[in-house]
Amino acid sequence: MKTRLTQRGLLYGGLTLVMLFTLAPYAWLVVSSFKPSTEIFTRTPTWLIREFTWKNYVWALGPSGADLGVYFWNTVLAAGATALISAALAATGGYAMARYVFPGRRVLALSLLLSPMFQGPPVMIPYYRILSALGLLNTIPGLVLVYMSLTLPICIWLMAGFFRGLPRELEEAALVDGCSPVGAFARILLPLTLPGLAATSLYAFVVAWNDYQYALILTSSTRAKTIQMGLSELLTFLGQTNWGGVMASGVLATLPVVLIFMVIQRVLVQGITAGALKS
Amino acid sequence: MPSLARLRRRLVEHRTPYLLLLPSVAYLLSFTIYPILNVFYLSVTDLHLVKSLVPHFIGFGNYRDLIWNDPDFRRILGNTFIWTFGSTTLQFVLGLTTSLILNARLPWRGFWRGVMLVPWVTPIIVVGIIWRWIYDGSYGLLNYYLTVVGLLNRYVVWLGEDAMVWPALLLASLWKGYPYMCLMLLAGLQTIPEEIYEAADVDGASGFWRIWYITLPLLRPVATIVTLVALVLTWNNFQMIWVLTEGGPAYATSVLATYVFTKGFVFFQLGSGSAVAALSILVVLVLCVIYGRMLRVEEREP
Repeated sequence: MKTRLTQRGLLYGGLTLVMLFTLAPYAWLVVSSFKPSTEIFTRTPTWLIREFTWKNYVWALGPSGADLGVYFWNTVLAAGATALISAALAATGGYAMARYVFPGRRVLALSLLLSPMFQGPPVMIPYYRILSALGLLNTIPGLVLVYMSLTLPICIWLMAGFFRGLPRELEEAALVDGCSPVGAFARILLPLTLPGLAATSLYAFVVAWNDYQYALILTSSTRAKTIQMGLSELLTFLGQTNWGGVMASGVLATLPVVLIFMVIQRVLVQGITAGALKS
Repeated sequence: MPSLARLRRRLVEHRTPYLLLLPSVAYLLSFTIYPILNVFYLSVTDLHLVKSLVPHFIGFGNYRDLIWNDPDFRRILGNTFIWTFGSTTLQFVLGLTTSLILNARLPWRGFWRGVMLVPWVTPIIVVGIIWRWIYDGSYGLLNYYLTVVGLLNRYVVWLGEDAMVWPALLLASLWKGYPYMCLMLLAGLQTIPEEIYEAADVDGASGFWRIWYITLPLLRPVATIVTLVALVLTWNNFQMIWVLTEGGPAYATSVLATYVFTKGFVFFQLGSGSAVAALSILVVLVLCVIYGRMLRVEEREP
């Protein structure tokens, strides 16, 4: 009885500590974003807002402040296009991976699984050269082309998983009824995986939205700079800028991601853990 | 040629999956495979963003310069190991502890599991904003609280001092990275059947010993794979360091991943930067071979 109590105590104590560690830095960001700067620059930090203000948010979006609107718009376009194209390719590719046995399948599966290991700095310089050769530096299509390398492998994995979850009899019945294979795929299977497809494309959206390193080397002006680049510019001029405004910008850049994530969390977690652990 | 005819027959026979996968495979060949090969080629050229826009073959000069003539390279290599193993170890310890907590019967368990993932989805620049402010030398939270509890008697510029910058960086990396580890381990824990624990209860094992003798050994295959993946992802992780210190002060927190960027896009030496990238990829390849082997073993087991 006594050990049970200690165990429960340890469990709840541990949970409290972990959650404090996880949420406190985040809470600090959100709280500060609603404070006037006189309350932010204090030697004694306070967790309560004495004088609530929206001023920082106005500064983040307004033309007299950071003017992040155009950065947000660029990101919506880049992440949106990445999401749509990834979903389309992953639907067809995932179906093939789930339902067909063909030479090269294992190699392809393994390369999809290993591709996240070669992202970022190892391929930065080639990406810069490729986009430069295509004349796509500092453009949104250029970003989309590169972002697909982050999203496509996992999206194909996710979709293959969803298709595997559907019984084969569905297609067989459709084929017997005179449906063409393409028709069976488009009219029977695809609608059934629609929730999965939506989650997959939202996942791609989040990944593209959160990219920092590729935008850093591939964009150079507000023609294509994404919101992460907008924020990083604020950080560069940190000394002179308004911290409250930077915090508010950070909250705004995180909001869509956290909202989307709350919607797709379950599907996503299943897909990602399955992709990495069961090959 | 007979082999060509066979190839054709195979293509026709499997045309549906091949057609379905064609766009994806074409994309992956040009944007995943080609860049990896390309970086090896560029590493033996004099490519420069200003001086030499067309690459000329120069042999292994870039590698020679790095290994023998670059005074910072050795330190950067050492840093890469501190960063990779430090981050992964910390993330593993907290990730494992948290996964055990979140696998226990708790009220609101699903909610806590969701909350745990918040740092993982936070954009890296926002992570930078949050932690730069925590580490600030005048108004930072860390200085304030450490002084209040008496662990610190002066305010420290955490990201500006050689001795303090690594602990600071690793703590921020722990915050950002432990949820991924926890998520994977939690998935592993959920595959352990309840009956095993019931049998242990009958045998009188409880609490800590139950975890030590049953949970951990059964979790080991998953834990090994997850750790390996985390090692590679940390090895390549340029963003976390860049948003906090940009590899500084001087080269104090530079690792191979940040050095590729510094060489290539700060000093414009794309050829030399590619050599750094190529060396870095070689290490990743070794880890990938181990990973591939382990996956195959995992497949055979059941």
